[in-house]
Amino acid sequence: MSRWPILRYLLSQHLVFLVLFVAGGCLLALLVLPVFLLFTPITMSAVDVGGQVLFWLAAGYGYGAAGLLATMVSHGRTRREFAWQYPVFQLVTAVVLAGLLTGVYAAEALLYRLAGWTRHLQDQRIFDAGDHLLIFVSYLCMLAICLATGAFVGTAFYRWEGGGVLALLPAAALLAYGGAMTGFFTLPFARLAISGAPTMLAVTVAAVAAGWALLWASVRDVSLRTRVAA
Amino acid sequence: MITTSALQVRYGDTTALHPLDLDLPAGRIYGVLGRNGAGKTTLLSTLAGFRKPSAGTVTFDGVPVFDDARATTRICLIRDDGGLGDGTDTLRDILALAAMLRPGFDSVYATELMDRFALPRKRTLRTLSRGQRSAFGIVVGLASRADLTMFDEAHLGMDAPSRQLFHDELLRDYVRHPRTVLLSTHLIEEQSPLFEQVLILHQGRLLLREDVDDLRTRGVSVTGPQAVVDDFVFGLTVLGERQLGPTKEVTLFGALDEEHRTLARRYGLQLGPVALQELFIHLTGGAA
Amino acid sequence: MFDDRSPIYRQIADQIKGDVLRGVLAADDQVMSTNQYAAYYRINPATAAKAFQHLVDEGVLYKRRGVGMFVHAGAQQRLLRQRRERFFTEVLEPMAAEARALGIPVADIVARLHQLIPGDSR
Repeated sequence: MSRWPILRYLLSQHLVFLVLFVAGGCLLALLVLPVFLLFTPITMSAVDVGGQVLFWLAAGYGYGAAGLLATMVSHGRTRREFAWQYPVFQLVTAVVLAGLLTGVYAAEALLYRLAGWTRHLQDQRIFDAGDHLLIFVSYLCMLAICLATGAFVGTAFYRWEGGGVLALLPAAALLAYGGAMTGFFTLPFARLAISGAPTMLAVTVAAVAAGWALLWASVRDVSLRTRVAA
Repeated sequence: MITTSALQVRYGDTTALHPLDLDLPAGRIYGVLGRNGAGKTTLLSTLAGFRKPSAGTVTFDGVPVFDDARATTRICLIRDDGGLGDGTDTLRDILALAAMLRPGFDSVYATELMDRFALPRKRTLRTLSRGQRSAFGIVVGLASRADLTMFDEAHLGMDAPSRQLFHDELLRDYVRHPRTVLLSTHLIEEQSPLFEQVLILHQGRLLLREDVDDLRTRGVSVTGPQAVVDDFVFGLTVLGERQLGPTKEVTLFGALDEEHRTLARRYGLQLGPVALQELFIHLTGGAA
Repeated sequence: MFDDRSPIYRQIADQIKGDVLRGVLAADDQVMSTNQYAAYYRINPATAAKAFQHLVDEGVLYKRRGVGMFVHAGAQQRLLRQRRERFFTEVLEPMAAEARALGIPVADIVARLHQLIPGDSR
């Protein structure tokens, strides 16, 4: 049998689905964009506004980790295998989606230039419109944090039911400071004076590692629930 | 061989499974019987590594079952809850998933079974009827070809012809690919011919384990005038009794010796066999 | 098919013995294999195997390695002999007891038997 079955499954099925889903969303946005022109001249970067949705989708998708784990265990795989193959999948997903988004930023820049529109990013962004490396790293970091956070919150609720509420505390901290660091959402109390891709990556590694540690704590000896059949 | 030693499962304050020592040699079909809440699902879930024992161990050919891929890839537990995939997955996708995750999964056989049970490949799990979902579980369970295959009331909601198909396929594939099978069920009369041995659980304990054919000889009913019957059964294991006017019928556990048989003939008492299901009812506390 | 009140292996053995007795299965006829039998009657193969082993032990069937099981040449005669011996204890005696309880005269029984089995009116 081939190795890393869970990872292979996730990459060949889930990643493909996620990429198609996001790419489809971008294309749809492209079609909708001209409609705005009817009302107001375009000055903002569409992908910069719409791209934020991705993080909530990532966290929501991550939340489904528990169901995925239950399915894997039902088919004879172990929690241990899941606990390392699933994070690897998340990492690959974050890289691929961040790459996709960076590509969309670049394509959008070209489109706006051809159309003669001005293109502003939102104020709190830490990157400039043309800084594709920093755009990539920012998205990568934020996506990785959202996916990891969603996963441990989801499994914590699966494992401890109501007690999973406690997982929301570290989750909120990770999302708030991750958002502040990458400049995707800033809250007055959560501010990080971090600059430069290397520092950001280092902080993300620590944050994501913490998320995965919590994931492992939730799944290592979790019992499969008897799903209530309809 | 699946082995438990001092296996115990607790849910908070309640003990679902009292310390259990069990050896189940490979290559047989076992029936797991018990009333609702007797601990059948808990036992099977723990044997499959779905649940961690509160105390004690479960090993499969010497390998601990909990979270060890050497054991879990050889074990398949099908429950009645459709936990084989996400509700939005199509059956075809779930079969593909099983084929990736299970070393021994036979996709060709799965396809054949899908046709036999007339299951729609493109439908999603959540849109299936109860019976279809059960049938799909049986498809996955059989095609997984796991050395230890367990069905926890996996026939729920299936109509009689589908259940018959299930029994036929189970026997057919069991003969072609011998393995250990555990079936938990309430359909004693219907499914007991499939078993070689039965395990009866009662209130979290193993009440009895016996070759099912031997168990069929274990119950005796004695019918006759009340006073005579009462005399006759004195000192024997009485499981239950019923009275109709002056006539009494007593269900005994354990085969009667020759002496008692002669005695019964002399007193004109009627001896009769007891059906397995009735014996089960008596053993697990009567129809209360 | 089989009832749940006595061991299935015994019911299978009785059924096959019945076939041999009536000549449905003749000497040196091959019987179904254990697995065929199990599949046909939807029973555990070990149960079917036990029945066949029983019949081998009793000299009703014999095994040919790698080929299957066959009816023993003398099986029909032997079963006939056994059944005849048991006929009086298992069939006639309970009938006699019942007849006495109901007050049926022996002559009536004999007369009816002559009707039921003509051709044998010695």
